[in-house]
Amino acid sequence: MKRWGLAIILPPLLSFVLVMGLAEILLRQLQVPEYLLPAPSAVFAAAAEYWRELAGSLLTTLWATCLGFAASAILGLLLAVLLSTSLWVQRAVYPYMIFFQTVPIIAIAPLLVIWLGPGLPAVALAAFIVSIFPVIANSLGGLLSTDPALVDLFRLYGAGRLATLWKLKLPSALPNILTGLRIAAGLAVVGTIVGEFVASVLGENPGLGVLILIAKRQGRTDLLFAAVLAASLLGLILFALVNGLSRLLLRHWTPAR
Amino acid sequence: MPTTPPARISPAASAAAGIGIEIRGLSRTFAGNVQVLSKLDLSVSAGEFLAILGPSGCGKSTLLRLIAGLDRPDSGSVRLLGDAASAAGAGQLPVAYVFQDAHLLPWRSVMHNVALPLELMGQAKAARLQAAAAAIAKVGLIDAMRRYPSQLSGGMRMRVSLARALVTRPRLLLLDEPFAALDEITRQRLDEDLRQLWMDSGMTVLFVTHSTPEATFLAQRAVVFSGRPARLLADMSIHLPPWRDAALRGTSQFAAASEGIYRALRQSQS
Repeated sequence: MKRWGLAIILPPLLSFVLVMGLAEILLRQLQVPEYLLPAPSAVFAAAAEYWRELAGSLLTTLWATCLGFAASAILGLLLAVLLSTSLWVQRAVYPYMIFFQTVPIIAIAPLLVIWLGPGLPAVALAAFIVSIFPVIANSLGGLLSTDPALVDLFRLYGAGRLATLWKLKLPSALPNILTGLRIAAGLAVVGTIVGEFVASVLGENPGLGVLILIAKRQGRTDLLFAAVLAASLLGLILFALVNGLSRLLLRHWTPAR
Repeated sequence: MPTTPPARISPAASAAAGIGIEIRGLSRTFAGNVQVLSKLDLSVSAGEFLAILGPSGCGKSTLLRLIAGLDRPDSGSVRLLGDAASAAGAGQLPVAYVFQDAHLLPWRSVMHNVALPLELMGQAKAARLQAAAAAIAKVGLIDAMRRYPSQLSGGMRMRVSLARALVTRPRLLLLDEPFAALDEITRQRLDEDLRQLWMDSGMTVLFVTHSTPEATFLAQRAVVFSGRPARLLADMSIHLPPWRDAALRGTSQFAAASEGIYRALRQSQS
């Protein structure tokens, strides 16, 4: 448990303080106007001033991100399992999956609004669309690279397709599946913010994407930066959650350090 | 580990006899017209320890896979002979296979790795864990039962793999260069243990190896195959005492037996 202590927290904290300090000094020396690029101190001041709004927006965005992410995790894994069952299905369906990777979300987000109307479903769907492909691609890669010797072993002992999937292929693919989820978590945040740009309704707690738009309209670059920081904090939290899950599930795979 | 004195050598009870093998005209060609086996004939008697040698890629693994039923021949037949081949009690399978590397499931403890075959065959949990513990005891890993593969050395992992093969009380054990990746000392120790397991159980053992000393030490009989497609180049009995230990490796008797196999192997690769 000690490994979770200072040795883990300190390096990123130090580098953060260092970069912020350097930026502060540089921006002051060069006298960059605040509406172009606010100094860290100004951003933190804005964050302190608007912390209620920021926290509310963070929760709204978190909720939409989680919905989209959960949907791509579950559907992505199911699709990968389906694709892994036969080369035929793979050849027939996989090209359409690539669509999810290549589609510019900013271009089809307005379409989502037309179909679903503005609001949470359209925002979560945007997060879902941009984050499902890495789940499919990585999970499928894992499912298809099962150790052939172990597949033979399962056959020798008369294991059926379901037992082989459940007791061999899925657990073998776990490292790949988790890699896919890690990438998807970050992308889901991006998808949500873009979704909020076009599909949000102004309510009590608008998402971070909306907060960014408002700050921009009001020329509050400091608040805009604070909102961006909150969004990256959100990505960081999700990433850490998936990482924690990964450590827990794979704890026996590699020798303890 | 079994380090039983010579007194216990008596052949295992006939009730648990090994399986004989009758191979006739066996041929197998892979995609790209790669003919690996062509009209191969080979007989193995029940309870025999047979070493199989030959150049890399000559079809030794293919032969084992065909015998295990993991692959089908294009023509010819593999017949497993004897009562043990058909009669299988609960949690028993006549044939077991050991691969070149341990191939364990990293997410399962030693105990549950060894119990896996019985689990796949649908045996109840209590019975399969009991059988797994017994198999683990046979390979001398009782203390490591709850550990995970990542916490074991290469030799220990191979022992787990061996226990996994033994858990179904096979009457025919197929081993495909099982100890090739291990260091010399570990390998010799595993050879000694395997030999003892064979003497205790009376099962038939087919052992593919590249090492003439290993074949000499382990087997009663060695066959040497030619390069693709595999033909039988040499088929020789190894006349060494049934009780074999590390000291035997230094004797002139051992060297002479090894030399015969070595010469045939040299010829197979020319």
